[in-house]
Amino acid sequence: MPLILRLVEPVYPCRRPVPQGITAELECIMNCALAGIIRQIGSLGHHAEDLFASLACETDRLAQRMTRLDRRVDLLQPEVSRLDHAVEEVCLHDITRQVAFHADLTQDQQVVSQETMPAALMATFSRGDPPPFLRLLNPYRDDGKDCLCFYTDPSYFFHLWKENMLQDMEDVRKERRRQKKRSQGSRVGRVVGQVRRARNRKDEWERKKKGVEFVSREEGQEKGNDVQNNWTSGLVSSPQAISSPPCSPLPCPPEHEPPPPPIPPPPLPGEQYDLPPPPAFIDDEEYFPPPYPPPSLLPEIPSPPYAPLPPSGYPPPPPPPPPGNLGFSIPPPPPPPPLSQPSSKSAFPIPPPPPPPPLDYFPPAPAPQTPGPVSPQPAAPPLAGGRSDLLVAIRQGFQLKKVEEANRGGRAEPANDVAAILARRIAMEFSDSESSSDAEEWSD
Amino acid sequence: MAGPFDPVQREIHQDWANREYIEVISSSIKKIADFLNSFDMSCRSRLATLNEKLTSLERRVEYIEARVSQKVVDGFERHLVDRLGV
Repeated sequence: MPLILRLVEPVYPCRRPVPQGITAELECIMNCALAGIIRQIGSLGHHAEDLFASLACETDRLAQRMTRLDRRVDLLQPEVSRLDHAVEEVCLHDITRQVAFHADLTQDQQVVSQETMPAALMATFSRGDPPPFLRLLNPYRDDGKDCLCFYTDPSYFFHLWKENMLQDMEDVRKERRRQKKRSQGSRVGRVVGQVRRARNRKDEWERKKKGVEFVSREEGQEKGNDVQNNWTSGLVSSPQAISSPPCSPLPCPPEHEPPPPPIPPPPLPGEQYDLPPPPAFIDDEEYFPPPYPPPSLLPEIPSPPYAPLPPSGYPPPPPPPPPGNLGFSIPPPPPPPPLSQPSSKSAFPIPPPPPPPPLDYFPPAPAPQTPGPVSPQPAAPPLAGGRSDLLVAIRQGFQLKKVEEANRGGRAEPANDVAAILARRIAMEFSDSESSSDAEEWSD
Repeated sequence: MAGPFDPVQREIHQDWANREYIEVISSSIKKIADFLNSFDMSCRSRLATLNEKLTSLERRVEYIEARVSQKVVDGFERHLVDRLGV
C-alpha cells in the first residue's frame, strides 16, 4: 500500500462544517479556509525542516567519510612518491610468499527495518494503534512461544527463510556424503563394461581364428577382463592379452589377489619409461595413493633427465579461503602431486613419467589436496627447515581444520544474518561444484 | 431585479474574490511542496552517486595501502602462525 511519508494537513482546508447559529456562512467558510491554509503552511514548514535535516545528516556522514579518505590519501602520498619502478621492491623469490589481498567487503543488511525508518514515517507509525496486550497470555501457554508472535511477528519471514536455507544445506551435504559412499563403493567393484572399449581389428581376427562360436562368449568376458587386459598388456605389449585367464565378467571380487605391482626398474637417465597404464579399477586400498616413490627411496634414484624443481621453489598453496568469504577468491590450487602424497603406502618406486599418465591413475585425494594434472616433476627430496615444515603442515590440511574449528568454537554463533547464511551456502555450492567436477574427472 | 449594489450580489462577488485568493495561496503551497519533493529526490540521487564514488575510492585506497605497505611478508608469517596455531 502506498505509504505517505509526509502529509501536509489539513488536506481540504475549505471542507469544514459550519457551526450552528452563524448567519454569514460564506464569510465563516472563508475564514476557516484561510485558517486551514495557515495550518498547511505550518505543516509544510515542519516537513521541510525534517527533510532538510535528513539530507544534512546524510551529507554530514559523507563528509566524514571523505575526510577520513583524504587523511588516508595524505598518508599514502609520500610512500607512493618514494616508489621507484626501477628498483625491485619485492624479489621474485618472495613475490609468491606474499599474502593475497583480501578486500574488506561489508554487506548491507537490514536495510529496511525499524532502525532505518525515517523519522516522519516513525511518527506516522507511532500514531497507529498498538497491538493488543497478548503478552499477558504468555504464562498460559505450554509450548513457551510468545503469544504476540501469532498476532504479528516481523522476523517471521527471516526465520522461515533461514530454516529453509539450513535445511537445504543439510540435504545437499547428506546427498554429497551418499554420493561419495556410492562412488567409493562402485570404484571397488566397478563395472567397466559401461565404457565402450576401443575395438582392435587384430583382436577381432584373433578371436575369429579360434572360431565363430567363441566370439560372443569372449566379448562378454572381455568386458570384465578389460582391466586385467589393460594391466597386463602394458607389460606384455602383445595381443595375447586375450589369452589371459578368463576372469569373471564382473569386477574381480575383493579377495582376488591383484597381480603383483609392476615394479619397473629404477629410472635410468635417458631411458624411455614404458609404464603400464594404470589399473582402471582399484580393488585394494593400497593402490589408492598414486605410485610415487616414498621419499625414502628417492636418494637411490639418480637424477632424472628432466630438471626437478628445487624444493624451495615449490609455490606454497595460498591459505584456504576464510569461511565468511563469498567465494570471490578461488580455492587453493592443487599442489604438485609429488608433494601431495608424501606418505604413500604403495611400494611403487615409480617416478613420474614424462608423458602424463591418464588422470584416473590418481584417486581423488581429500578435499584440500585435489590432485590436479600430473606434472612431470620428480617427488621432492625431503624438505628441511621450519618454513617447509609449515608448508607441509598446510598441505596436509588436517591441522588447519583443527585450528579453524577451535576458532569457530570460540566465536559466537556464526550464521544469524542473511549475508553469513548466503555466504555459507555459496561457499558450499562452490566447493560442491568443484568436487563434483573432480568426481566427473575421476569417474570413468 | 436587484441592482449592482445589492448586498447579496456584493457578498457573492466578495466570496468569489476570496476563493480566488485562497486558490492562489493553495497552488503556491502545492508548488512549494513539489519543489521540496523534487529537491529531495535530486539531492538523494546525487548523494547516492557520491556514496558510490566514495566506496570505490575507499576500496582502491585500501588496495594501494596493502600493496605499498611493508608489512606484507610479516603479515604472511603472522597469517601462518594464526592458521596453524604454531
